[in-house]
Amino acid sequence: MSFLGRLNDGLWALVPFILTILLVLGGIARWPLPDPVSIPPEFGLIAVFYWGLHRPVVFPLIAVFAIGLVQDLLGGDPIGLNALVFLFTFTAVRANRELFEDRPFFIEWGGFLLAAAGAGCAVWLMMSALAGTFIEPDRAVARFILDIAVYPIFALIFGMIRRGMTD
Amino acid sequence: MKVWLQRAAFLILVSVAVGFVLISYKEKALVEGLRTSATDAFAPVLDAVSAPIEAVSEMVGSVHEMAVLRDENARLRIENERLLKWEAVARRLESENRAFRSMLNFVPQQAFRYISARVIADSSGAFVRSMVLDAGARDGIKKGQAAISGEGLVGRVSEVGDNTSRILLVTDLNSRIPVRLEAGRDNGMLAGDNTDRPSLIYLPATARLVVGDRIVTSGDGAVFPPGLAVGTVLAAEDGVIRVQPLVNWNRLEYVRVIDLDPTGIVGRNSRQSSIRVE
Repeated sequence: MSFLGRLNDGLWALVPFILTILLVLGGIARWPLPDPVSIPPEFGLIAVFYWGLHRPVVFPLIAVFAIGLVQDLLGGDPIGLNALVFLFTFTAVRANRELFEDRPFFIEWGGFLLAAAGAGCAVWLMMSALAGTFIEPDRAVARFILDIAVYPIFALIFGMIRRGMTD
Repeated sequence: MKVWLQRAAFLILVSVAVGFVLISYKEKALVEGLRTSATDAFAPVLDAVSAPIEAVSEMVGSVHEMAVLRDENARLRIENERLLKWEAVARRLESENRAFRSMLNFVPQQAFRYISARVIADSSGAFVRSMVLDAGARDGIKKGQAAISGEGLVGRVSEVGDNTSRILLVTDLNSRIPVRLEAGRDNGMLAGDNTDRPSLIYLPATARLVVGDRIVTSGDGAVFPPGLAVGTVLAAEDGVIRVQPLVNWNRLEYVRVIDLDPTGIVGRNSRQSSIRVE
């Protein structure tokens, strides 16, 4: 392969990570919209699930950790919390890729539903344990529903990027 | 070999993440510097990312405003009339107050300086309610200061970087604000619980409150100036008194941070409290 070809592949491989960081920043930026729409989706989790399923090679573990850490640092969550959840989600999805291969999209969507539910419950439990009190889960549930609703849109966008990459 | 390396990397990164979580829980001061540095570094990017979101929101808002312009005009005319009457009452009370105070040799509460800042990030997710401002220590912002909007109290400064600062909203789980019932003068504490309606706790058993009563800061602890509007009593559900904050969180673009040089529970020497005039 020519130098330009390799450069092109290298740049394409960086796109998922850069796009995810931008999406995470977008999720933290001000969304002057009424509730519950003002709660932005968990962009990091959506990206980690999608790329862990379809092209884990473009998302090394250190990149997954970095995405979670950026979200924790800027979002105000306890540092390391989302990094931890993203690492477990990514590893679990990558280990079960064959369950979703060559299956209809709704199977993948169902998989994301399970992953988002698991990740949401884990964060809720950890936050409640750290706070030493029961935290109302209303906003977490609203975010979970939003995540499920927007997943197909992001799967479509990520799919277009994936098709731009060579195997 | 590759699988073994991946497992080792996973275990190392998980251990680091768990370590971070424990440190950020036990030693908040240690991670605060890390967080403020990261926020400072990412501030220009956050600013740039929020610009298109705000532009779209403003566009939607403009279209909506056009649709309700006529009704809004009529409502504002009535409100203006009502406020003019209140202005007359306020002026009379002010002059009366001035006269009474001079008779009593009352030491007046001095004015303070405001620092206006723009909200560049709203990390009000599922479990944390905070906002990031584009002003920090260089602009005179200090930890513990109160942040207000035109409507009422927004929260307090919880972290300060060189160019940015984080406001812990009154609705956050960790927020505790000393407040007072404006009518009854009973003191209590406004406790956030991550819902949009914080609760009112530690009110005396004899306190009488009515739905719609205004809640203001009490000034206890000398962290916040007394009398800042906070919210109104909404309802009592299962023995929990809920308060509706006056601030419209979704339209919060700018806030004013009150430079009172906090002296209370944030641990400054009370003799250093220099109050500057706006």
